[in-house]
Amino acid sequence: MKTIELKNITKVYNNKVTALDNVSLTLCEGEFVAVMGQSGSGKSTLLQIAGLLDNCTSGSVIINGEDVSKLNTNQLADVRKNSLGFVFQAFHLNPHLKVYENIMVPMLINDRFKNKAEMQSRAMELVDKVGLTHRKEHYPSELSGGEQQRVAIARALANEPDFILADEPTGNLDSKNEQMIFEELKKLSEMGKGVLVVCHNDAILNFAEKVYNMKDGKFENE
Amino acid sequence: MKFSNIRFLSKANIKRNKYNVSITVIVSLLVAAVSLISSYAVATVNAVNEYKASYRARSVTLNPFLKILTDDAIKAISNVEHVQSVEDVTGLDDKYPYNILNISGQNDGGKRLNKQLKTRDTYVTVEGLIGDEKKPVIAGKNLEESPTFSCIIPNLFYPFEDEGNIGYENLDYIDGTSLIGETITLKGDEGKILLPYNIVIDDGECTGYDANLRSKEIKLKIVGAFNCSSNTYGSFHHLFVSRDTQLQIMEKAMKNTGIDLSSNESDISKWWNNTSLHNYYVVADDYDNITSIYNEVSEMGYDISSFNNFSIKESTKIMADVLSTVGMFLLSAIFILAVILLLQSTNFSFNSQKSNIGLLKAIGYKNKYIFACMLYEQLFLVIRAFLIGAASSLVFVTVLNYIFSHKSYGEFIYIIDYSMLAAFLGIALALVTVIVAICEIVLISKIVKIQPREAMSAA
Amino acid sequence: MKMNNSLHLITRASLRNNKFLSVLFCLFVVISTVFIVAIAGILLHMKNNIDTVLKQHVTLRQIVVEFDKGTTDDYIEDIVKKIKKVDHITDAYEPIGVVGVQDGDILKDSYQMDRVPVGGDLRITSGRMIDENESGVALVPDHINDLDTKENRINDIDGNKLVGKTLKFVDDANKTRKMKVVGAFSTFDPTIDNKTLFIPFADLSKYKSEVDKMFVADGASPNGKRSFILIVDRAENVETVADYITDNYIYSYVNYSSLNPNEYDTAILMLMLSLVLLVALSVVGFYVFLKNNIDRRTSELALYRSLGYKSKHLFRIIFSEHLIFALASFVLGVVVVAVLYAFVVNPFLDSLLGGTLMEISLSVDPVVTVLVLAVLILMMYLVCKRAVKRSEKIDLTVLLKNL
Repeated sequence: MKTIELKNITKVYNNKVTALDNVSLTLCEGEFVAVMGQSGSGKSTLLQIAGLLDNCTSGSVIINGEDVSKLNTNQLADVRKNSLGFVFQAFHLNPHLKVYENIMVPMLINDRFKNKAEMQSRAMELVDKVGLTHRKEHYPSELSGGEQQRVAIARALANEPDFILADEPTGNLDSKNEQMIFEELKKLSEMGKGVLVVCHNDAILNFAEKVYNMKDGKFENE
Repeated sequence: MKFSNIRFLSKANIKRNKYNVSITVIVSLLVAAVSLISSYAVATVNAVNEYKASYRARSVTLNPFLKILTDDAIKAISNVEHVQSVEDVTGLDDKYPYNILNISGQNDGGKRLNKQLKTRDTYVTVEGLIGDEKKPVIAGKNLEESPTFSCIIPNLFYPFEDEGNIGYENLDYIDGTSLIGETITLKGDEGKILLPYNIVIDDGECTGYDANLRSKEIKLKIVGAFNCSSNTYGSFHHLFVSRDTQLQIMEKAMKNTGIDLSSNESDISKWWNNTSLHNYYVVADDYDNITSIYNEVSEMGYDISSFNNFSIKESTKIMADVLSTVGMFLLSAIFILAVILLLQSTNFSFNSQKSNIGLLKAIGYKNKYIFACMLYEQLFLVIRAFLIGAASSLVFVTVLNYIFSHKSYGEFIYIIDYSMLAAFLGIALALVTVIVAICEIVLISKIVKIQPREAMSAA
Repeated sequence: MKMNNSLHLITRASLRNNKFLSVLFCLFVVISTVFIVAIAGILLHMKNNIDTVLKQHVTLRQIVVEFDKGTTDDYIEDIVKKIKKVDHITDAYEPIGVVGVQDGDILKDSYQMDRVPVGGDLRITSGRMIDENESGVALVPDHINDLDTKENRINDIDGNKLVGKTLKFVDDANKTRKMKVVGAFSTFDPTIDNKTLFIPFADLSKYKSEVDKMFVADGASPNGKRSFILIVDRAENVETVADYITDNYIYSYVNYSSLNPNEYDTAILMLMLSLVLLVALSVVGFYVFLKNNIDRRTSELALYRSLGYKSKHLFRIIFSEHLIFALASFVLGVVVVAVLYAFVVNPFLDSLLGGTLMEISLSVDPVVTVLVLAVLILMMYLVCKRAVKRSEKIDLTVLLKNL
């Protein structure tokens, strides 16, 4: 089984601020896990550590059985490329690339794709999956917030990762689009991907199987 | 990561880069500045250097007026430090004005000139080369490879008398190369050739006189064309012949005038046959050594000129100095500013892309891929900017070359050779590429230090 | 008033916040100011020199009129009198020179004696200029190549050291003339050679008439060909005046000059165009710096807006911040230029152009300085105005969410 295991994670900034205090979490394939909490509770930090975007002060991160703490920068990048997909609050789409081209960006460094035609074919597949076939030639500035986030989700799926990590994916969206995005993420977990969503909105409760509440760097559930 | 993928991503980043335009403008200006300033500075300095290296610019005239120039005297002067040679210039050292009677008209150039000869007065001079003086041609054959009574002609040939145009502006030059192969018939102006000669008068003093020799027609075959410019000896109405040809012309003229050179009866024949009464050129090994030669030979009691036999205008030398020094200072100033601005622009450009870099790192891009994309981006901008700068320089030089070609003869030194411009454009391209590459390399450590997490929060 | 105090507060806080970039900006302004003001000053001085000294050189303002042999003196005098009254003619004189062979211990060669050049600029290197009311005095070149035929050598003589000495000459009339050297003149002007001595016109006329009398007595005819030189006020008027005189009085032509100011013009034009490139680069540089400084603070500006600040307040904050730095840096740059001129540029230019018609001595040009400052301030004004205008369009809710 594919898993992300966070064991006894502590993160202290500048020797003063403890963002995470001995936190443990396991995300399995096919699971939809939500981490909720107030602003400053440490939930984004948790996601960043789980996504290898930051390192922890103590504890270990094990992805698919491999302890990543001993890996160097390039090896961590490879793990992110092959196993993880990210969805951010601010979308981070390239305004000068079309929808399908934005989805191709992670494929450019994946040797699995031999040529541009293969990448385009995969991108089109993903565009259809997120229901944006009619918008594939459009630029991000021509899309609504919800549509942009769906593109970001499609991009996250480009290299067929095992896990999707989403940091406040609906933070910039209205409630209708919010629902839509959660539904998309739910679909992904039903497809067998492990989905970890950091959110402060209660709407997630209708979709997540497990919910962790964070406060002051600790899980309240524990 | 394949090159085509790097290109794909970089092109999109180029469009979103807010500092595109400023980087393009800076590089274009730098390319234009390097190519133009260097070209004009080098052209003027080269003109002066070419002048200084020329045979006649390094030679001064030695006269027998203070003391006659015996073989021993010549030997002693030849041994003076920095003297390269001492050459007898009898029959060679004066400019003989000739009129063109006719040109054979075998080709189009000759036919056109013949038409003009019917309505315009002509004025050319014929000079013989001195000692080991060389006058290389740009087309046709050199005089050394040609028989006697051959001549070489300026590539910009203007053989007409133009009283009203003292500054020689806007002349309708004839392409000298179009006359190669023609035979030109000349005669001394008013049927005469002026011959300066020296005699010893009653009190033993040597003095100079002039004689008018009767000139008959002279036919010369045009075998080549030399590059004519104000910084080399030989202007647009000079024809050059070999030493032997010139001496034969003089001997014929003396014969026509009834002077028997073998008899030693006339003053001219006495002078012609007595080398002690001849004028000489003292040729220095270097232009800057003329003064020391002059001082030393004067000390020996001989009459030597302090002025060299070919001088360019003081204004040309001054302007070459000014253009090269002030021009180089300007170029340095532009270069320094451009480097500072490029460093800043690439730095600012990098800062504006932090979030994008963070995203790419989050997706799994390694530092080397990110660097490759950024480097491609900058080099693409550089090449594009270079093309703009190069095109501007080319237009500028073409326009100015056209303008200068219609100005006075002395301003021809500002006409830029396109091969020189191309060389400086090449240097400019190398320079800007290196600068930009260094700017990017400086950023490597910054790229490495960026954590995906930090960049993400700088959205 | 309260609002003004807040603005100063914010400006001071901004200055403290962006120390590094501010220092860099200042450095850039200093360097650009030094380059532009220094080089513009050099070029403008050179151009001015060309326009006033070279282009208006007396040899470029001369017209020659010639009276044929046999023309009576009365007629010549009458025509010359009328010509002198023509517009733009400032002087007319008959160039007369007398050759004298030195007959003394000081100089050995023969020299031309002539009047002090009319309309020209004779630079005295030692002693004083001659007074036209004087007699028996002379000016000598500061550098003389004196040929000694007896010793068969050429001696280099410093004319400045002859001041106070008496020279003796024998002229073509076999008369011995004595003249006391009262001064030496510079031969920087290429139209003045070092084989000419200048003496008062009255003396010259006297010597000339005695020589002429002697030639007439020897059988030469009187009333020989005579020519006069007319001096025009400005070189631009020479052709018109020559045509007028030819049409109305007597054939005249422009006197040939060995000077060609056009050559200098071309080189100066090249350098001016290079300066334009430098200025363009500096303008781009300022723009890049200012734009970046302001773009980095777009969120900050949006925040102030959300607090109720208007565009004029924001403009005042940004503009005053940059103005303080720019002015201080500019002043520093000008001081550096003044020092450079005094200790580097002037000595260098003196080594290059000293003793020639092009010699110049530089000082900071107020016009150039003010012009450069004006361009700098104008640029800042435009960029700051544009930045503030751009900040009006930002969606504050989105921006503040992302802070």
